[in-house]
Amino acid sequence: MRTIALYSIKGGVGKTATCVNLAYLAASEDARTLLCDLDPQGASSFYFRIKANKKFNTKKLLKGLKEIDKNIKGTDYINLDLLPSKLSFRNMDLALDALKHSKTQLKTTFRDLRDDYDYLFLDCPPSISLISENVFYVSDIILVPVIPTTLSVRTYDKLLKFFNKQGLDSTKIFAFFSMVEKRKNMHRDIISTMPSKEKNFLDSQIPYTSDVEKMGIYREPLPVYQPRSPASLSYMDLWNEIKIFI
Amino acid sequence: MKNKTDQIKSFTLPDSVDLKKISDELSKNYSTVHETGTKKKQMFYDTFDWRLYKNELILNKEKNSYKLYKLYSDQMIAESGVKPGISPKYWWEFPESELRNKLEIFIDIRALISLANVDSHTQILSILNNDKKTVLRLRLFEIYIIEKRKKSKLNRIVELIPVRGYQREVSKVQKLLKQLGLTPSQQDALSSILEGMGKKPGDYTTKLILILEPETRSDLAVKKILTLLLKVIKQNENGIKADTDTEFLHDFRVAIRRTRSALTQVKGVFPQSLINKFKSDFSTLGKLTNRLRDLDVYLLRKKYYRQMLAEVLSSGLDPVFEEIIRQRRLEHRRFVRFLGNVRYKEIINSWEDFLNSGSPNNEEAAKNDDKPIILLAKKFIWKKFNYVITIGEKINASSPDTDLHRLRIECKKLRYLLEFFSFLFPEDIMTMIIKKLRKLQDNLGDFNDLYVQQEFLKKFLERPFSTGNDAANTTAAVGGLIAVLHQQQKQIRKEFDQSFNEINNLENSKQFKKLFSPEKV
Repeated sequence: MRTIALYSIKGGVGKTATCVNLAYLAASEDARTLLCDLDPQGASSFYFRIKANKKFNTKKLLKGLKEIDKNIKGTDYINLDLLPSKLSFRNMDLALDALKHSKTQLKTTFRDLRDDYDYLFLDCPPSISLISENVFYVSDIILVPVIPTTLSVRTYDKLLKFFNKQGLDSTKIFAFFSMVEKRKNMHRDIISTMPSKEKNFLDSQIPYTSDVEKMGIYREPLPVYQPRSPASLSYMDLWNEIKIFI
Repeated sequence: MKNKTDQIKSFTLPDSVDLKKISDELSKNYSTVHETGTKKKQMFYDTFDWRLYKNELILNKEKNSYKLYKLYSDQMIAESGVKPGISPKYWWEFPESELRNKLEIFIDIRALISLANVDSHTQILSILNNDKKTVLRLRLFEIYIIEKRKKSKLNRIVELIPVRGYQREVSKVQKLLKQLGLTPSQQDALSSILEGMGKKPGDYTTKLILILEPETRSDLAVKKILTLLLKVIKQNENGIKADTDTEFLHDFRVAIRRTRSALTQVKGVFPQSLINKFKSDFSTLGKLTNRLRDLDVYLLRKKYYRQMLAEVLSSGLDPVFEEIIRQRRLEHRRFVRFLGNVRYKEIINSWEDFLNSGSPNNEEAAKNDDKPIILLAKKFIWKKFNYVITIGEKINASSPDTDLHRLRIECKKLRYLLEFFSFLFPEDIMTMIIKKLRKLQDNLGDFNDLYVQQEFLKKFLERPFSTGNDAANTTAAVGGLIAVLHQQQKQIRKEFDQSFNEINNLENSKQFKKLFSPEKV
């Protein structure tokens, strides 16, 4: 099972849309896929029209397979399941802190899913915390969407520095430009001057389109309602590019 | 880790109800979406002994694609496209694919037989909750079976397809469907189809499954065992005639062998005159199949033999196999003619009459015929077990090969007895005992087999096949093969002691004594 995390310190960068669309693409290639929504805002759960069971909470999630199994739900799409999030996940950092292996707990939790799924996608909350560290340990790849602005790139730099300082494996991190607007000068400048190899930037870029914004209205993955949109094709490129590394 | 609650549940739909009525009823609590129907033509396949079905699998062909599914689910395990017009019979005839790998494991040397040709019209009703999330699907199948070019309609089937994590909806909808008059069907769609055609999946077995009281009269009990064996003999006739695969003849022969063994070993249960006649009949029948089976087996070994030889030699085997194929064709024709013959019919009919007849109560009656079967079973098994141990213990490294041959035959007799009377004893213990005996039998069997193969191949050295270079190549190849087989045989002989100890140990002896030794009066 390969674990792919969608992670960003900032919110509103296209993390969830990317997570949902990539998970959908993986599943449509006949791979058994699970999307785990760790973000208490629950956006990916919303996109899939799925609400978690009332009794589901952080404690149960961390308990492992038996509890997780009761709470996984099938999406409307073949091969694609979702473990939905709860608002109470906002306490996950505290819960992790109280545990013995606070930094690697998620790895233990998700390990048992190995036989059931080919891909695990993690939709992470925007923050830099104990959850993030857990995600770093458990993932094979960490995808970071970056809007091509000075501030965003700066934030990304900080992330890489944090990684290196903590002694974490920064070769797992792959950034990609998200919500790109080619009309904007700044976007074009940042993209052209970014030395991609040095900072693990992928070639694929996701354009800003109203199509993607409409995901919240259609509540379906983009390739379902707009398979030929430029954004859909870009997600396809992104998925193909990532597959090489996992 | 999908649990049973996610399985597809089938219902039969009465004529008075259609999908619209179901949809209307559901609309009271849910919104529904009706997808346009699709039409499909499919052919279903399995082996004669239902190897796929027994492993909870279904294989079907649609257009030019074969798909393997898990029973009771929509989960497709593997698929493979084939060239148009091609219907592969054996696993090795499929293109290299995951499907081919799976078939190799499950069906081995058996051929695929087409079970049913089906036209289906499918409609799907998706059931949505307030968030417009699909929480359940209902699939209506209207199935037409195509038999001999005629289309006949089956029961309409409604399948309830759960969505993971929405168990409550499954219970609610199940209740609703039952209220509408739909009856739950324990079968999957394929079983329903087959039932509609008068077939029952999984109904072929060579296992002797009996339920009889231990006190049952011996002659009646043994007749019941023999009746099961006769059923197997008859079930395989058509497959032999059609030459579908090699295992029809194999099962046929095993049933005959077991029949003969029962007649010989379970003594004093039937009048001697009858026993003599039937023993002779089945001996004739058995002998007539020997040559054909031998040839089948050598053909099955072809790949294995070629691999055993150095590459430079293996092509020398080709003329040998061509000859085997030629002989096999003749032998098969000969045997099929016999199966259509009056003599064969007489054997089977007279046997059947005997099995259906009552017990004689005149001087002809045999001395053990009314004794409880449990007594006879214990007596014969105990005696044979001790005999096997006695012979086996006398064998050492310098014993002649014929001693091992004799032990092999006695082990076989013991095993048949254990299998006949398995139903009288605890299943788990019998399974274990037979398993251990099997290990010894495998060793002795392999040893004997290798000897037989060497003898068979020597015949090819004695006959001139062709002249010049070809003959030299063939001679070299056959000679090489004999040498390899001889080495293998020596190795197997070395392993005898360990194999014999599988049954010649304290624990096993205790088991046998506990189950079979005569009760102290």
